[in-house]
Amino acid sequence: MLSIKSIDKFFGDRQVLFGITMDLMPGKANLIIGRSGSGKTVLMKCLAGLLMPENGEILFDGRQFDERHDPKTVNEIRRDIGMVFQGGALFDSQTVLENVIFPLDMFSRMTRAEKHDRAHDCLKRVGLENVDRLYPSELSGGMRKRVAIARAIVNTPKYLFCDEPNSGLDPQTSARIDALIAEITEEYQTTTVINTHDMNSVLQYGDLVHFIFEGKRWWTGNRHTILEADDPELRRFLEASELTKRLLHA
Amino acid sequence: MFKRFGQYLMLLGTVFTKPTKRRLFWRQVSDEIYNLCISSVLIVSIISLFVGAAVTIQMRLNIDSPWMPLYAIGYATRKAIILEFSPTIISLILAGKMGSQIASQLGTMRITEQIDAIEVMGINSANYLILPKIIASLLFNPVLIMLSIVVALIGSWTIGVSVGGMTTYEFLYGMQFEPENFDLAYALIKTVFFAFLIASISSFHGYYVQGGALEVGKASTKAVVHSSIAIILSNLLLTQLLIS
Repeated sequence: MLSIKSIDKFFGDRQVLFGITMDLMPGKANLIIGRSGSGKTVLMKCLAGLLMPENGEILFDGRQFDERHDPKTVNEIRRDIGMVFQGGALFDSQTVLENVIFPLDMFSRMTRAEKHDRAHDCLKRVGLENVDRLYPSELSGGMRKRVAIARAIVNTPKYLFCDEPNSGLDPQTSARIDALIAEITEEYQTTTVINTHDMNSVLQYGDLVHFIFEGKRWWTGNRHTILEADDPELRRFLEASELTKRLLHA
Repeated sequence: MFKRFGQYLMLLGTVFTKPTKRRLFWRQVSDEIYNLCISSVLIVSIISLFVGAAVTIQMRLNIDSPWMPLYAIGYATRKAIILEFSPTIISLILAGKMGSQIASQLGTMRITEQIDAIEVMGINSANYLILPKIIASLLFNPVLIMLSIVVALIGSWTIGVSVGGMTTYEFLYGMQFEPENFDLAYALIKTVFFAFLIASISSFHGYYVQGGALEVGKASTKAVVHSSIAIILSNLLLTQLLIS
């Protein structure tokens, strides 16, 4: 179980997260939605250990995730985390295969052949074959995202964090990425946390949906209950999407 | 300014830790030797050849006296090249070339979240990315400076013999006149010190970039300017300490 308890985050004098508390469902797709600038990415960076909240705590299966408190435990937890960044964050100087093998090179004791097999399996899993020797600059946006997913799952993480995985993609590729993340969550039983604006994703696989508004957890539900919610801020957010607007008024 | 200096020292504290995988670390070092140092061989050679020649012409014109033997030109040129030109001026050139390369590489990695991707995996990104650059510079910059000395002396000899009215014997006599082994040691000590400053200051500017492409450009410029100032100031300090 991944739990967040009353976390506050400040940048200088500006507070961006206000006492956020939430539990995330293990082995399911947990979506965090909200407007741009609402604090979703900051929250995810806190979860991934890239930012340290000033107050509150983050617990991975009861273990506190705080470098100031216990750096050794934080490093152990980090080995269980895979993250897909908004832009992919692939290493420019490495080929696709080298990118996917990278976490194995750093942490596994596999032989070279085993690492190659594992990386090829992951690339096959995300529907990419015969691109091993290409560099990230030679790939399309959707392909880069899929390589990033392959890299994130190569160490079979328990927690998968995806920051706006379908931003900048066409609807067809976006749906493909959504389906892939949902399948991987199911198959690997990962606790997946996804930041998204995309209402298609929410309605397709939102096992648990948290709506963040102005740095506060505003509403919690799932893909079945979100359209029935009567919170005015959430409804305003939903009505901004033509899809959910039609569903709300149907 | 003091805050930035403290941040620089803290970064160095993070950089100088045990690498996650030693085998990968040495592979990184060899990659950096190629990317940063081997690629500088041509520019170092060209600059050294022509400046070595120019220094000889200057010496020839300034020591144009019947009381001064011609071999003094070789001697003075040797001193100028080994003590100042190669270690200091070539290090300034390297600060421009390597410094901007390091800062822009790390800055781009920062703004495209590649550094975050390394951190999320539980890898000390400063150690993984910066230490190999520092070690590569410490190991290979002295080789570049030695190359610079040799090429500059070749340039000096070529111009001295062809247009300076000297014979090869006079030039070589001057080169070997009153040999001081410490001159070379002094040049190498300075080079190692400058190599550390170039790699660490440039890495610092690149590693902490915030923003976009514009900030990466600014960081590259700052890396070159600050490395150059640090080289010039420490040159004065080291000269005072080692020679006076």
